Amino acid sequence: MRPIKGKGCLIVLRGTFAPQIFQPAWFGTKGLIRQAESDKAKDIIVHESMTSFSLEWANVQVLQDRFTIATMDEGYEEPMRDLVLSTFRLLSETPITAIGLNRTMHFQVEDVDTWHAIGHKLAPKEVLWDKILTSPGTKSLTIEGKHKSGLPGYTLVKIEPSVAYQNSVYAEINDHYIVGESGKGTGADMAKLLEDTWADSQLNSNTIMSSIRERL
Amino acid sequence: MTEIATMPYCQDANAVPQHMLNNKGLRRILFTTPHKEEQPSNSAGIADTTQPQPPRISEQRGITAAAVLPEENWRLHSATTQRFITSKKWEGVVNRIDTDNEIFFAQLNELNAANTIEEDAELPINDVAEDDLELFKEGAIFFFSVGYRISEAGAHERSSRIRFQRLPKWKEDDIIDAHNKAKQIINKIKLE
Repeated sequence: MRPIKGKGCLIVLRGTFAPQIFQPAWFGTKGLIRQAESDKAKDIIVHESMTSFSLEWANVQVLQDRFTIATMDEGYEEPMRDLVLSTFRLLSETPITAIGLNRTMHFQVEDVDTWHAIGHKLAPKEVLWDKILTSPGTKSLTIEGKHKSGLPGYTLVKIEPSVAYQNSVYAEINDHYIVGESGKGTGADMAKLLEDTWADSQLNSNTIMSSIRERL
Repeated sequence: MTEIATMPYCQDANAVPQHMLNNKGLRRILFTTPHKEEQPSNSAGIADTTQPQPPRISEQRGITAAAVLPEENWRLHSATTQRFITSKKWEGVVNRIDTDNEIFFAQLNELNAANTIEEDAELPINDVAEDDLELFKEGAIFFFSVGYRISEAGAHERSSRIRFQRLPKWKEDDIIDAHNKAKQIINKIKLE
């Protein structure tokens, strides 16, 4: 089995946000994170256009059109989901157009030849690329599929060489859902969608990740 | 130094030819090739991007570029110096608290399992973080994960964690509203 070198999970919301609200102290006061976590938040930037801070287990960045929370710790994926749910149940009227449930993984392959072979398997070079480029190499490949549930949106699977680990491959899954009718959703709509889709999205992403790791 | 060639690509899924998207379509593919004056590598299947890439900066206006984290950080493409690798994780419900023996009994449901697997567990109260004690009561939901922590030096250390679910605190108005709605529902049922 090829070793996993790193895993991550991000929730990205698209919509209209007031970044100054999303300060560690606000999350602490509302009881959405532990008081000690609020007190110990690091790298805090608060500006009318952006708020950003780091907890021990997650990074939060809020721009006027995007809310992002990320964790590299698999054990904190559910607490991260709950933090998003709780936040937007409180801010239930926030306009939100889309939500992305993203998962990432780095896995190491046997050797450099296998690493190159994966690039060739994903994008064979003989038909065209060898003829028009000198020593072509696969830099990034993205495949799009539809949701099994039929919900509006798509699933993107991206495969790239890992920039973090040697002889390793980086895979990223972006499960993108439209919130509300034609993207005219609210925080409350997003919270319901997140609650309804989380388990299936996680299971599906894990299946895709395992297949990529085993079959390539 | 590398040069990137791209296939036609568009951020808007609706603008991508539909024949490319039927069910599982090709969305994007990038290739890289060395400049001609450079020595080409041997049949590179994957472009060598182990060298740090120039960070991409958000186009958000009104903030200095340096203030915005590089997009790569948010895509978690980077390595971390210390990390926790989860072997298994469960969602649990506190069934009974035994303060005399400093343990609590819980029902655990394994997360990420294709089929629901329920288990009964006995866990030490000492594993509950001080800041979570206000949430620690019968019926409370928590997340329990076991795995190992990898230090900066590469040492593996077995570890487990408990974290209680945090949801917005109920306001008095919300509770009154909920009672009123419940009364309305009960009255409707009686009428029928």
